[in-house]
Amino acid sequence: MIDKNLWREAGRDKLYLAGVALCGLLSGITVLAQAWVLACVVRAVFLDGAAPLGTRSSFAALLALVTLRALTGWLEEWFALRLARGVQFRLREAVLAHMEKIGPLRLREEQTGELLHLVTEGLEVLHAYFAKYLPQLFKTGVLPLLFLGVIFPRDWTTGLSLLVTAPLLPMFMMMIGKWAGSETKKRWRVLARMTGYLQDVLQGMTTLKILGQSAKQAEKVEEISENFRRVSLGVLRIAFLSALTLELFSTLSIAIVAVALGLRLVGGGIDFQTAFFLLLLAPEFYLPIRSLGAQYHASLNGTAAAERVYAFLRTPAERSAGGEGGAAPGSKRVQPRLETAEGISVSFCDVTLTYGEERERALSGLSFELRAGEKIGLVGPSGGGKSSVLNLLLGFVLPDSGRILVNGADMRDLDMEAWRRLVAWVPQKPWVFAGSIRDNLLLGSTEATEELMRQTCSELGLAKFVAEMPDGYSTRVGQGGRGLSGGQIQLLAIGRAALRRAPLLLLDEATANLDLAREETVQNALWRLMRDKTVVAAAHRLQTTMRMDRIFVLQRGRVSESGAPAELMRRDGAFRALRQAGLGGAGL
Amino acid sequence: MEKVLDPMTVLRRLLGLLRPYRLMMVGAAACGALTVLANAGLLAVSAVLISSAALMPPLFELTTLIVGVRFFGVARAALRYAERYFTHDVTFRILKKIRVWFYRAIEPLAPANLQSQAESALFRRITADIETLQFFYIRVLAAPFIALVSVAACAVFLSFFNPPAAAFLIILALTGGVGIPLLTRRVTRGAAATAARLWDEIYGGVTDFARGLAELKACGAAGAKREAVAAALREIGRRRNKLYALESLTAVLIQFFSHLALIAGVFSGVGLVADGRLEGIFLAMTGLVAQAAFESLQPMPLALEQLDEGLTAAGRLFSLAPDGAPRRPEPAPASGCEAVPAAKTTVPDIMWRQVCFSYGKQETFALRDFSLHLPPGAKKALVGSTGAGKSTVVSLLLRFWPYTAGSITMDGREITAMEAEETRAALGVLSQDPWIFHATVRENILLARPEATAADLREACRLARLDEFIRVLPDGYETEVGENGLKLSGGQRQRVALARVFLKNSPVIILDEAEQGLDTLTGEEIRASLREWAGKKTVLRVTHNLSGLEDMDEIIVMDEGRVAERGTYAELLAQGSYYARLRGKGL
Repeated sequence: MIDKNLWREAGRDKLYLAGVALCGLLSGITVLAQAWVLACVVRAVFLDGAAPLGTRSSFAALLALVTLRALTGWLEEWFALRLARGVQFRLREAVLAHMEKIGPLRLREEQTGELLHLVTEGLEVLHAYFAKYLPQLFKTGVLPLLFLGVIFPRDWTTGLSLLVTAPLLPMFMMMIGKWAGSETKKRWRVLARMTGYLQDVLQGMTTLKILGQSAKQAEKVEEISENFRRVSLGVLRIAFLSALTLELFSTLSIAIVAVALGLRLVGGGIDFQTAFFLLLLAPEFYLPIRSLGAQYHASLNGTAAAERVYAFLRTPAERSAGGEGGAAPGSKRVQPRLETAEGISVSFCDVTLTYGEERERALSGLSFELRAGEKIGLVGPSGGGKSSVLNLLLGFVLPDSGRILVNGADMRDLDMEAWRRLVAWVPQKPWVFAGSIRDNLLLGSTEATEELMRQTCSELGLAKFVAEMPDGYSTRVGQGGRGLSGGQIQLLAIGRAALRRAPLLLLDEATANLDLAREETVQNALWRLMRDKTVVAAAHRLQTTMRMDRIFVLQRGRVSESGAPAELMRRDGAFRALRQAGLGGAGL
Repeated sequence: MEKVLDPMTVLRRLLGLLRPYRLMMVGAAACGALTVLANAGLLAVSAVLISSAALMPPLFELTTLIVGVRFFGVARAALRYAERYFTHDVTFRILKKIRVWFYRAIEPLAPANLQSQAESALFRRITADIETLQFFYIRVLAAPFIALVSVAACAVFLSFFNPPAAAFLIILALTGGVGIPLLTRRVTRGAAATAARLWDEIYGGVTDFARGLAELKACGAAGAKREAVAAALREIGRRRNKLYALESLTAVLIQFFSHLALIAGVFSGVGLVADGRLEGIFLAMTGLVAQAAFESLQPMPLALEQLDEGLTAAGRLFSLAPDGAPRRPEPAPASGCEAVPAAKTTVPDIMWRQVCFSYGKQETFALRDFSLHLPPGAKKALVGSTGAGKSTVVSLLLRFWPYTAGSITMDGREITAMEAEETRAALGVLSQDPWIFHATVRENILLARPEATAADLREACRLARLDEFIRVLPDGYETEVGENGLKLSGGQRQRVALARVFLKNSPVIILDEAEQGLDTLTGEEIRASLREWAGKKTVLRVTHNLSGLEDMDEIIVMDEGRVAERGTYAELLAQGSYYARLRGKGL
């Protein structure tokens, strides 16, 4: 009938809920009055031969009643809309907050397209649920009882036939609804997959063409659409049975009431006015139940969307630091201690890490120490654990075991917000936000002034890059860096990191090709950025590696070799093998 | 979108698309009209039955009426079911038709006409537009048809008994069922456009939030961004709610008019009964029939709203995929030319001669007087920085764009005279940004050659150094890789794409930045794989990475769309040339 979670949500706006109920009840009363007056008029004219003038007052009364009915109807919807809006707001905010809570690593596993749809237009279905289905549900529960209360004293036989058929209706509906409901849930998934499918195919069209599969894919689109049609119709064939039952019950009951009344009228067992009044009421008696049936889809869609929302809200966060994930509640958050003069020191003590349900450990027993102001380079094959070290230091994930100490404090106990203020990060594939270059540079550096921004950029050698843009710092850039080259995006990310003025720099060097002209600017900007900072760099370029104080070669989640770059070159070890593989190239 | 088509053209083309279903559509709508009329019939006969009975006639006089009541009662339910079922069937068929039509229309044009757009927004729009169009029949075409038939039938029926009631019905139906929805539409029309724009913005904001979450968190800006997105969502919620309130007002007003029709039906009969022009037993009936007709007018506001939305959606789709597009980059093969796409086994001879090309209306040439010969078995490399035109050379061979001047031939035949599929069949291309589909690893790789055996697949994965990775995956080859392979790392995605090239096993191999995202060791391993596997195949490497090109037959250095210089590795170094200078930077 009603989704428990959604009902709890609605319960927070009791006033609107009461408004909906009151208006529903009022509209029922006007229905009764309207039918009674109409029956009076028809009797007076038809049987008593009343003159047209004599019906004037009833005419006025009827007009007033239908106007009142329209008013209450509109007010009811207005309250219901308010209710719907509140719930939508709260759920959307909850989803956004949960996205933030589970963090970027977990979020990557979700089908973001679907999730983004859900939080935006996807939840619009709740509007129908609360504004249409819920008021109807209330009226279905109350109005038939009200009508029966009026009908019984006048004619108990009609009352009885309505009373007997009325519960059968919801009963059948529930049976069919349950049946269709489980099928609909399946369909909802098929639909989601189907929508995703077309989009996936369109986005991968170039790849399909290269593989010579794009023309053939049209048949696949057809096949999947046809399959979708069959699945949907299969479900609807059942779902529409509820419509059939509803319709059949209400029309047949009207027919039975009409025939029974007709026969009793012939026998003189009832007067015309009452009979006509009852006839007018019979369809109204079933109307709420029928309307509820019409809103049944709204209820299923709403429930399905709600389930998706609540399922997402239940996804556990990766164990991440700072109480954002599974950290023990109540444990004290420590402000990171920072003696600015000394900078930040980091030590990993026997750290192991496994992501989610993966079998392989990303890190197994990693230990190293990093003195304040030291610059270390992490090198090694992909999957060796370079990114994991950065993820740990960013607090996106917590280790399974072992400890990470920063300036002597366990990262588990740190207040993450405060900790991240001390960290600047240049990711491998930086995200560019829709907005101006300025917005992108100042991300998270709210207190930085325009002057500081310009100064930082010219120090890093970025001023030229900005000057090339049509509107300088105000140039608008597209989401994900549309319209910018790989090199320009890197520069933006470097500028962003620099403006944070944080003592610890985490660098995930880009492997992608940069334009040659830009390459030098990027490298120079990076050197300048690294100055006076403690640096942990997942390095891919020879130049970067050679400038580091120490190198850690990470293989299979542990340090297989470490030392100063020159020293490692002399040694015939893993580092040398790596370097030789990329000899003379831009590799490493 | 480029140009706005005028609504009439859009409507005509849309109706053209729906034409094959016209019989089904009319059938389903007829069921709808009959459902409304069955209800009118039920109420009419019931009213007459009770009114007649009140005069206490002999029972047999009522039997016809009693049968009528029961008939309409059953018919209404059966018709309702049929209407629902057929309407949805047609709707799904239309959806299928539009999807397949759009795919087929856009497929030959892609990627040329899809590239300029903001991608995520574009694809979201397309999907949403197609969803909108599926309701075009049910709401825009069927609803007014049903309303027209029902109201007309009821008015004609009424005119036999109570002509003024028929007139009232028509007037009230026109004001309530057409006038009020038109008025509402004037208000909502602009609002709908604003809402669409707001949704786009919000979608952008939410995408930024979700995809940029790592950066936002690292910068401590996640909370602020979330607040901003939430505020925008609240704002659109408020706006939407105003619209909804107006919509519900419209619905309530239509219902109000239906009650007016009932009152008008009864009171217009009062005088007639008094004059003896209308039999008293029909008095109640006229009111009830007039009211029943209004049932068909309830969906009218939605019809108008959907007309606008449907035409806008269709207009957007049509402008993306025009009919018989003149700028179709893949002209049909010249007549007499037997162009059957078949897997090539012999290694073709490929030649670019003086090719010029510019994207769109841009004045600068992306490629100018480009010439290159790839004889069978050649091993060559295209190098240069981003934007030098390397990828354009490959795109033109792949027939993604039509070249402006010059010629590209394959075994002496101009490629524009061949089926694009045939050209592509000879090419195994690793592109710069390969798409990984939301499917399993196996499905993603098999796409390159769906009929490949399991052994072929394993071999391709071994060559792409993907085998070990697959072994540790939870479901091995059956592991789902997520949207655009997001569950994979950059290097893994690259290797999946490489495995496709190995599996396709084409005679010509083109690798655009093959080692992108790969670490040095894996890169070297893959280079070794290629050497072992390529054999007599033609290989063209496109790269900015100047290492490992020692054994190339020829290296072509590109700069700003031109060939800056060409020669073997040794020659280029000896010349002290551009290439040598690039290398000298110590990259």
